Amino acid sequence: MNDDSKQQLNIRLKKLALQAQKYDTASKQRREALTRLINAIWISGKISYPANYRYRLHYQDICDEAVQNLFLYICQGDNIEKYNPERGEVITWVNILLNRRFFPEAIPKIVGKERETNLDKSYMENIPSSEPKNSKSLYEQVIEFIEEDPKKLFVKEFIRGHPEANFKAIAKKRYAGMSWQEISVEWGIGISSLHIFFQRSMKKFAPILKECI
Amino acid sequence: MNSQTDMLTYAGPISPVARRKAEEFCSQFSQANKAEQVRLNTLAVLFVNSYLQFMGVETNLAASNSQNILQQMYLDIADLSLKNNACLECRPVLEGENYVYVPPESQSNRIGYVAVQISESSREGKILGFVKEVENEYIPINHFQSLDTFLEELEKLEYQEQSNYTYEITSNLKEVQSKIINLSQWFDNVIDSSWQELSNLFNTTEANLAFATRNAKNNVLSRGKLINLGTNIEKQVILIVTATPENEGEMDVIVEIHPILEETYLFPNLSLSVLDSDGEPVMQAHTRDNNKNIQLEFSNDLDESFSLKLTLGEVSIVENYIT
Repeated sequence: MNDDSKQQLNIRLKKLALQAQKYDTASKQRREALTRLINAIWISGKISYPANYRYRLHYQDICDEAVQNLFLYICQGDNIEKYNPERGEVITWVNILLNRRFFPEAIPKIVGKERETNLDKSYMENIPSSEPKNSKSLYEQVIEFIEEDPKKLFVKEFIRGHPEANFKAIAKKRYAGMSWQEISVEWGIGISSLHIFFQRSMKKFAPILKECI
Repeated sequence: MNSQTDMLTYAGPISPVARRKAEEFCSQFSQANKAEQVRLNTLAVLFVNSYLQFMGVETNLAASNSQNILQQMYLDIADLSLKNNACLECRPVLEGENYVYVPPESQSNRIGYVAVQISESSREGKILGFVKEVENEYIPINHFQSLDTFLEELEKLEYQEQSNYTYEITSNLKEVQSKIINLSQWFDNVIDSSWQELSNLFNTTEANLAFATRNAKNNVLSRGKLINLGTNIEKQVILIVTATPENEGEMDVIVEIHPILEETYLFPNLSLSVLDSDGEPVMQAHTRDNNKNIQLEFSNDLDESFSLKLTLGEVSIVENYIT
């Protein structure tokens, strides 16, 4: 990057930062200016990361995590107001924040979690058993359960007038990789009827399916 | 559509946490293409979730179907729940691809669609643009609009939340609010694709029996579509409009509301009104406990507009017509 384009970048970033400062938090104009700002910072290639040999293996991850948190900081609340154009360029402000705060803070987040099972609460709720009870994947367990259908629940749930189009049969076709279009042609049932029925049934059976796995 | 320089896009790093989560999700699947689909969907959703976090927009990641592995098994979904059950679809696209794929199961009950480009290394994401509606499964990338349209839409959504008025939402697939449905044009075969043949909405054989009379006459056209009376598919009904041009510049119109295929009865306290061109209600029908359908029939002068209003609880949908 020559001096000219470097200067242009600085002017542009400054303009965007000042623009963002002008508007209320959560206004469309402020969000637009902030989006342009962080996007311009990212694609400028001017983010400078501190060297770190100790965590060479995780270096890239640490950098990504640091920028993620840096951008969140820039956009959050009235933090952008902390940028003072009289004290320097935006990219300088940003790189200081990254080097002094966000890069060091990212290290324990990335390295520290290396051996932990990194599952937050929402993830746990959605995946009933994160450590499979046996060697089978969750996916295989569900497929088997639907296939066995011990209480004949899944065949009893079908599209009105189309007993062949039952939950079990649709599920089988779906995991065999068939598209809605293909299933629709085979049974002569509209695509939207098919997937709406299936999505409803999924919701209905979700508690039973979760229990089986 | 838009010149590339004016387009507001957002490119940034994909967080390592998101990558790890995507890997964990997809490791559940043994079929390679399913696993890859789940991985990309997860990355797209999490990338947009981060962006919305930056923008101070509240999301409800845990409530999104895309975070539910059972849903991911059989469906191809990349939804992200926002406040008030509003739902955004975040479709992944790879570098070099010109189309964004939106499968049928993701085409309804969305406030819009964002295209998210995932780099080959999965380290960088880029939100390419936004569309409010999709009409088919393959959307050309240049069809997506600049992100400021998306920001506008978010602002509207937040405004709606603040003002607790009855809000009007769009029906399945199509924006209906601004478009006037021209029934005379139906006879020239100008029919919006959201209106389907009745056989697509009902069981074919039953539909043949129930609606046989309608096909007997040549100058009768019936079309139906799904209407969402809420933000999820639990509140869907079928709207059928039957148009018969009469002499003396009039058209007979029959409007019916039916439950969708899997239901026997309509929701109680659902009301259907016909409003004249001034927006004044002229007829109304509403459901009680066990109504299988409701219907209104009237004549309208040609070139005269009318509106249909469907109300269930807090939600009202208004559609504007002209005969």
